[in-house]
Amino acid sequence: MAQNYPFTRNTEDDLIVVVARVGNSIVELVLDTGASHTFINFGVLIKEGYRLGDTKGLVPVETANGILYANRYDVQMLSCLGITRQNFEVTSYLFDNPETYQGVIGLDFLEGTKICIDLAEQNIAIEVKQ
Amino acid sequence: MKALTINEIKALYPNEWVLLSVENSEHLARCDRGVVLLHGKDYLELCYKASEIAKDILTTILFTGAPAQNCKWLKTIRLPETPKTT
Repeated sequence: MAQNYPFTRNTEDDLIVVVARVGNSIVELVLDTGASHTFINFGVLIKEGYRLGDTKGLVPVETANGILYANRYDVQMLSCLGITRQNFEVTSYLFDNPETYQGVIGLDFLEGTKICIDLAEQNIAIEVKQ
Repeated sequence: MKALTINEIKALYPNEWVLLSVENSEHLARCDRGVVLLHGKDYLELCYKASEIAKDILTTILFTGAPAQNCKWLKTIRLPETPKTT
């Protein structure tokens, strides 16, 4: 049975923003089906007690400001759109503009789900398949 | 301490980062009120302080100023892993 999650997108410049929980932090993330991996601003991980020494290693990331090396972390818990992943790997670096959004939900988080994004009705219907 | 609405917090602490304690709810929802635990101008400093004082409670960090317009940081593509040589 699919669960519905409405979103608000007022202008064509707006992104699809969803509320997520990283450990004990409530954050707003952008739903990006064009992203293979999930990104979290490093400030959020610092707040959750992660430090640079906890990294699993570096990975190259192409951003609007060029290619940088970001860290890979296993976060204890990431919850969003009714899905909870434990010990889930995220890619993290310190965002230039943390006042906007705190990261990106990518396809790795959505693995094993059927997701329908209805832009006309501004609704996400998601069903866990496995 | 009293929970304040986002508009009240913005009026009290303009252009600052604010750490809010929020209600633990079964359903995740956009925060519309909370108890102010910390506030300041430096985002990273607030994150480090928050990791010390708010480990076990549900919190969020809010910026009370205007968000940057047309930011491009959302272009985030993880590239194939290759050994870093330097």
